[in-house]
Amino acid sequence: MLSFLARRFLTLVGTAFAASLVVFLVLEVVPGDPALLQLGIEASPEAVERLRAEMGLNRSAVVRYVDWISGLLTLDFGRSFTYSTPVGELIAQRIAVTLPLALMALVVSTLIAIPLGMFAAANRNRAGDYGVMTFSQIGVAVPNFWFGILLILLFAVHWQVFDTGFPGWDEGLFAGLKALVLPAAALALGEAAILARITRSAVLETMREDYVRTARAKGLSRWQVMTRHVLRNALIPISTIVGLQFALLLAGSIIIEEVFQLPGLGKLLIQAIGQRDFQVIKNAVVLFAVLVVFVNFLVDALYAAIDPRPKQA
Amino acid sequence: MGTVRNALLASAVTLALAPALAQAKTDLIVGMNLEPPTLDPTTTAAAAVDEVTYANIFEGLTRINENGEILPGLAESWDVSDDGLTITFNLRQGIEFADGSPFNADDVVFSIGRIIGPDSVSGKPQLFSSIADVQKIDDNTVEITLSESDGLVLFNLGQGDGVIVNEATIDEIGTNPIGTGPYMVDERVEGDHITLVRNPNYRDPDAVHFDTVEFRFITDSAAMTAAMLAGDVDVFPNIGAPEALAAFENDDRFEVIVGTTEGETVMAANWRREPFNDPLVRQAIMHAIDRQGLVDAAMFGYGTPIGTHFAPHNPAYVDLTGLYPYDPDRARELLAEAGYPDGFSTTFVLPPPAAYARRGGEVIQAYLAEVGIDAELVPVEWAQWLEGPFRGYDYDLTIVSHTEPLDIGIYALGPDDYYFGYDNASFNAVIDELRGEADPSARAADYEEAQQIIAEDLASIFLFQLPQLGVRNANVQGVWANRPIQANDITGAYWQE
Amino acid sequence: MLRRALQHRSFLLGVILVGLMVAAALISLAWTPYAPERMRVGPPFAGPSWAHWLGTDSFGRDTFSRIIVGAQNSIMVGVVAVGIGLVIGVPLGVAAAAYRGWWDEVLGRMVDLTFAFPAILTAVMITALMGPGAVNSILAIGIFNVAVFARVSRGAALQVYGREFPRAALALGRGRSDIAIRHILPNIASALIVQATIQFAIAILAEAALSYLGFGTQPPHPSWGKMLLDAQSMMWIDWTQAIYPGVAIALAVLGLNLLGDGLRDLLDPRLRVFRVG
Repeated sequence: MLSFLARRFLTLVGTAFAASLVVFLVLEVVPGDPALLQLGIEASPEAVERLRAEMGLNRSAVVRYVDWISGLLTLDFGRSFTYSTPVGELIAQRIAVTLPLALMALVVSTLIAIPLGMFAAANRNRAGDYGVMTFSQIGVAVPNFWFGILLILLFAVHWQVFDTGFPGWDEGLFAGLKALVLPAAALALGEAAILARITRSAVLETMREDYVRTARAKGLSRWQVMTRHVLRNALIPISTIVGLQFALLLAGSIIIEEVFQLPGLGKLLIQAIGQRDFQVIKNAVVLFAVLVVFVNFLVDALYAAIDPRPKQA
Repeated sequence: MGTVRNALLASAVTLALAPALAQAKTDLIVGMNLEPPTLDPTTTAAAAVDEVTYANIFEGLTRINENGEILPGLAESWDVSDDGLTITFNLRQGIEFADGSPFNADDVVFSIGRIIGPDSVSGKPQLFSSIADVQKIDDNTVEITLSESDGLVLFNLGQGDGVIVNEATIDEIGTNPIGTGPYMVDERVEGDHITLVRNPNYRDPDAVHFDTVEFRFITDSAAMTAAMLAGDVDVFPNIGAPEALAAFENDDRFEVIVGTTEGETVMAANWRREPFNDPLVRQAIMHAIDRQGLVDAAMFGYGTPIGTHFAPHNPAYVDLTGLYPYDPDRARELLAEAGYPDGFSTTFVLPPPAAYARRGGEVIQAYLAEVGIDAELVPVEWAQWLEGPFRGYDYDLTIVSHTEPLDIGIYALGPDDYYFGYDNASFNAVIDELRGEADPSARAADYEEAQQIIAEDLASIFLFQLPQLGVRNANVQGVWANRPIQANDITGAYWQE
Repeated sequence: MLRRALQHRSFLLGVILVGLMVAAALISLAWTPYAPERMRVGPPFAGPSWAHWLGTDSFGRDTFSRIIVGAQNSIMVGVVAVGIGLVIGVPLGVAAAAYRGWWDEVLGRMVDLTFAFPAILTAVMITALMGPGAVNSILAIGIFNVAVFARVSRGAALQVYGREFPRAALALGRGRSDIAIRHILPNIASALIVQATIQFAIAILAEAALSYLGFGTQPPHPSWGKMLLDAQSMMWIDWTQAIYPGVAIALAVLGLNLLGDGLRDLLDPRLRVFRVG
């Protein structure tokens, strides 16, 4: 198992490295000169050239790549072209929105999906089951950004009990969390729909196991069996999926932050793309990729710990 | 962040306790569409920088007011020599920068010195291209020498690009600007807001109305509307999204601000390319577009159609919109005459502004389609727009609002130096004449002639004057309605008691 | 088989919904109440009426016409993006299963790398940096599908290669590509059909998301995502316009998902569908 994990870890590092190379190469070929953009319409060519030199854009690509990677290893992400502040600070500021958002969505999704899935399994092929499965199909089909718009329409425009935007954590924990409620709900819907379905089938599978039948035969109530035996065992596949979903939620925040105008990592990235702030783009993209790969690695590790059968890397 | 319900509640309370509460309000929250990338207004052309810093943090020798008039700033008076080539400024005395250091002629020489000449660090060096030299006469007197007479230099020195900066703190001006204005930067959260606080060394503390002024950056028009309605933002001086105004037009708690800007919105049709080098085709395009219809559809009725490159609120403006009026049949005839009986296909590059460029582009596309011109829309970010159409002259059609004041001279820059590709010797002669002309009525006559020439030639496809649209809490007074320069001068704003 | 299909209610619903979308697209090729790109066919923000079934947008364009023409756009995106995935991904995946070894290893790493970037992130990067538009957004979604189909077809093909008959065929001296086409493809077809249906749905969602961000289909061509973007900024004036395009997307995706799940039940209930957002 250790060698399996070691191999997975190497893959993680390799993937992160490859991702950085891909991003770097993409940014090399895209049109749009960041120096020109900074100086605007009326800038003289000399001024643009001077700024390009200041930004380090006139050095060879290899030098810049090596520079960037060696910086990354010491957690020095360079300076943003747009703000001329350290990218590390910008990312730290933004991740303080994106991470809580994704976590909140994860909690919401899990809290909705697991009871729903269990309920559906317990009522297999009855009305409750169909209801849950219908919810699941609809939840998967509704685009999260549209659901977000609907939430804004209802709660911000019509009832006016929530706002869009983010007040900042210094306005207090409650204000911050409140601002994340609607976005987290929008983000959670699709994942809850999938998780409910997976919970249902995991629970159904476990219920077929002998020990469950034995427990039932021993006279334990259906509820007791459910909570004591079935859920505990079904949690293994469920938690794997929850882990994987966290990565998806992080990615989904890119569009949800746009819908709700939240100053998170996704919004930073979209904005940086518009401003050709290569410094921010490359670091943010690699960070996203590393987070995704790392979460997958954790899930693998967890799975390997629970399920000792040999695996293919 | 409050909610509208809370805001309603609060305003009910305000009614009861009006005087006490009104006096207690010592902060102002100003909404802006765009965020300043830096806080140094002198080295960048980005309007958002001026909009935060001008007059609030930094002041110039002269000062421009809401109506575009030139008033004394850090210079309390000035004398212009008879040949118009020497200007002597008498500086205000007893003024300190926000860090407590005194302001004097050396600061002026330093500030002007760095934005003129071949090594100018200015974001818009052409504003000051006529200034040959700046000399200190004594601590309170400075002399500026011009290489040619320039009717706009006093105006330009009053813009954000010409403000007086502090030499000792110049290295951190981008993040912690130190000026002579009533406020200084307290906190900056990238992507979100910048908070200003009172400058403790300001010359007239009683004239400062707020303890804190926060500039909050909100790009999305729906979010802007929500923030205003919720009372999270007190003023949105330049809302940029005309559709957002609908929510405030019939609401007593808010005042909609409609003013003028210097932004002539024009569609450039590349003179270097077929078929746009054919005057008949240009006339056909102009006849195909209903400018009022465009303003109605794209700008929700806000904006004034123009027939030339000049601001309608300027006394020298000539209304030339009747020259090539909306007439799609005539447009088709002209196209046929020019050899395009079935129209033609082209591309139309759209920069980011949502209202005039993106929505306007869609509307123009529909008008052109009516007469057989198939224009493919190519939306780009500013980086690509600057590199492609603006610098590389690589475009067929593009649209942009030229927001510099009195910038009709850009049509004299010629095909090698400007993206229009327009070249007309008699127009250039008029602009040359203007440069040396000091007499106001002669200047006005020149301006009128210049407008006439480019209107007849259709040097650009002239569309409409961009309005200044904003919204404010009805209790906030003293906010600029017009936008003669890029600024949110809130030094005159106050809460009504 | 047909009787089972007719008894499978959610499959039938899927067929109906997808049928509706295809019908809307086909009808709109021949006829729409108004030209979908034409402005001022009615007053702006006109509510639903006999003249404009779903009202008009801010430019006075007929929303019903735009919705049904939008179906063409979504179907085109789905077909091409899934087509790219099938045409490139399946041969790669089958080859990896046939040859194993370093080729398999390299492909596996490439697929891993593709999945390391969240799909929406890749798509945004490609369209935003290479230029927004329908073609680039289809390509961006297609790249992701290549990885999906490579992985799915490899997995399915490996199982088939593990059985007796391909080995027998190889022993009889038949060529590898011959075996792949005659024996492998027919046996992995069910898996591919089911996966293609799901990817079709994902492609529609992804294109709508890109258009919503402004990177996808460009005006005047109606696209459901762009219609949502426009409607959102006009929400304070007329919120109803933000409803219809979303319903259209949701119904299309629901139909395709139901169809995919139904096909799986009917073709091979043990099939594992691969879902990545």
